[in-house]
Amino acid sequence: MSKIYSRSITREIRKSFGRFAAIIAIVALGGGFLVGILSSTPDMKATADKYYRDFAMSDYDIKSTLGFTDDDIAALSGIDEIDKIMPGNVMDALVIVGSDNQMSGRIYGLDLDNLTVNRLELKEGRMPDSASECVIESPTSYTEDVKIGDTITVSAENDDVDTTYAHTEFKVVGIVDSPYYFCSNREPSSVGSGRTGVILYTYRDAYKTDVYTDLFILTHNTENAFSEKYESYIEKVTEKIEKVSDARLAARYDEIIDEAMAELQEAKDTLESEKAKAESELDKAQVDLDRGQREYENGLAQLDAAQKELDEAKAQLDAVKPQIDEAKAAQAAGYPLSNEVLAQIAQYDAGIAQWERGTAELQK
Amino acid sequence: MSYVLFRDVCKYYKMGDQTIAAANGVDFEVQQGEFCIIVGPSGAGKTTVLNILGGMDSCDSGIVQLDGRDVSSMSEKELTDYRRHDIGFVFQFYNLVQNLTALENVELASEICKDPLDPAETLKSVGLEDRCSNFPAQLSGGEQQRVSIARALAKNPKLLLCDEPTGALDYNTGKTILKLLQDCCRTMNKTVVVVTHNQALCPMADRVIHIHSGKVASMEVNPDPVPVENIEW
Ligand SMILES: Nc1ncnc2c1ncn2[C@@H]1O[C@H](COP(=O)(O)OP(=O)(O)OP(=O)(O)O)[C@@H](O)[C@H]1O
Ligand SMILES: [Mg+2]
Repeated sequence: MSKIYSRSITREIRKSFGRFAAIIAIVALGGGFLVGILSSTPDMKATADKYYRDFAMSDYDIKSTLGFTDDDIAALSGIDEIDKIMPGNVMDALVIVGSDNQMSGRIYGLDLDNLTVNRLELKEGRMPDSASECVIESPTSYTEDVKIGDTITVSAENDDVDTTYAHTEFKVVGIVDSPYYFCSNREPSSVGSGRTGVILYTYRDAYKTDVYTDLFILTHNTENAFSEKYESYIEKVTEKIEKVSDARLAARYDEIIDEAMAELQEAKDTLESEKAKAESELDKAQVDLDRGQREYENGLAQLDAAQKELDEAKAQLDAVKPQIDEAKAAQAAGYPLSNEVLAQIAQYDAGIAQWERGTAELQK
Repeated sequence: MSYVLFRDVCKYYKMGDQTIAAANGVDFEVQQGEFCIIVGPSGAGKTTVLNILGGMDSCDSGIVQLDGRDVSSMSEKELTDYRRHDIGFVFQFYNLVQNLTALENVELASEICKDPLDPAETLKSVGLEDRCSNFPAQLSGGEQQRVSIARALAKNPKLLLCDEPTGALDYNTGKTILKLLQDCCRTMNKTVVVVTHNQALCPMADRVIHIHSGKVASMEVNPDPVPVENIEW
């Protein structure tokens, strides 16, 4: 700006200082107001982002219906951008608060002593000492009125309560805030009314299952969570996670199938061996049976032969019977019999007796 | 080769579905060092022509040249430089900066150009050495117009353009102003173009251009111009 021109401006201002001051004040006010309005959005974004960071809010919550194993965690840890992975079990279940207040509850089974992701901020009470105690998410207008000291019981109406939960009763000992539920919205539930009435955190021991349902993942991201840079960062990491996920899914599927297959194979093997054992026994029995049959047939032949011998003997005896009867009658009439005849009679009787014995034996 | 050259210059204003031809094929030339008067009735297009020549307006077609440079094809930035260094403009209503003294008004113009004349000297040459520190509001119309001429001259321009410089002045003051302009031309050898609707002034010019309805009706070269003191109207 030229010297003379600035002199003109200075004079203009000096001449109408009141107006100048008024205009400056109006502009300053307007400017301040505008700055206030314009900065509120970035301020809010920065504040929310700081909160996320302070409480290590997860960038991802990955869920699996097959369940996660330590192998899955190891595989995901191989992604450079991933900072921390915290496994946990999360299930929606019908719960009863107190004696009869039924609602749907979301039960987090976490390693509460070592929350690396989605850190909880204790607002009231204390953290649980064991899996039979729990803390609950700060109640909002969308949740039910649950207080410290209440007991939350997993309803027996739920499926597989026995196999899923090691603890079914949780005493509320504290109230917490989680960055995961930082906005007070209606939280949809998969059970009951469809609205989550209470969100509770306890130790993972509350669950019996040996696989995790959820992995909470924190990345090395340094961008503001509301920026486009964050979106593209997350997009990039998502691609990598999906790649790992596809591989792990196939592996996990195979694992489960293999397990089932192994069991099936074992059952098949048992079946085979049992069958073989049965067959060999059957074979042995058959052999016995055959031998019996043969023995039977032998016996039958022997019997036939014996019968024949008996019949022959009978025929011989019958042939001599009239002479013997005659001799006996003579004896009865008082005729002395020669020794020779007596001997013949005795021989005959002995033959008859022998025949009868033989017949009787055969009959048997 | 003419110093100033207009070739078939047209300027149209569109007002709704009506087109006004403010300049409709203007052809003329002016030689270096000439005192040139453009006359014509009101609405003929005199101001339009002067504004195009001064780089304050652009033409729709045709060629405008000053000292061999094509003004009609200049970009906005080139036009700014052209106005700043080559043109001195004297307006009908002076257009002085009210917050600056007479001297400062002249300094303001001289500050922005390449090869200015001394502001105080220039004011002296228009006879206002005593009024240097007066603000425009403290000067008469004639004095103000002289300041405005001094301001135009201090830039040491190639061309001095004056649009009705005496329009708001009384007879005698007008005469003084015209004499000043004529003297500038004669003594400083400036090329001066003056727009007026006063036909009586024609004898004082080296060249008179008559404009009627956006066209040059006639152009005369006056081999024997009369000093303005000898003209009465
Ligand atoms: N900005 C504009 N918009 C529309 N029409 C215009 C504009 N400027 C000038 N004109 C028209 O162009 C024509 C020429 O105008 P110009 O100002 O050149 O006339 P003039 O010869 O200077 O007249 P005067 O002697 O009254 O000053 C006039 O009819 C005027 O109405
Ligand atoms: Mg005009």
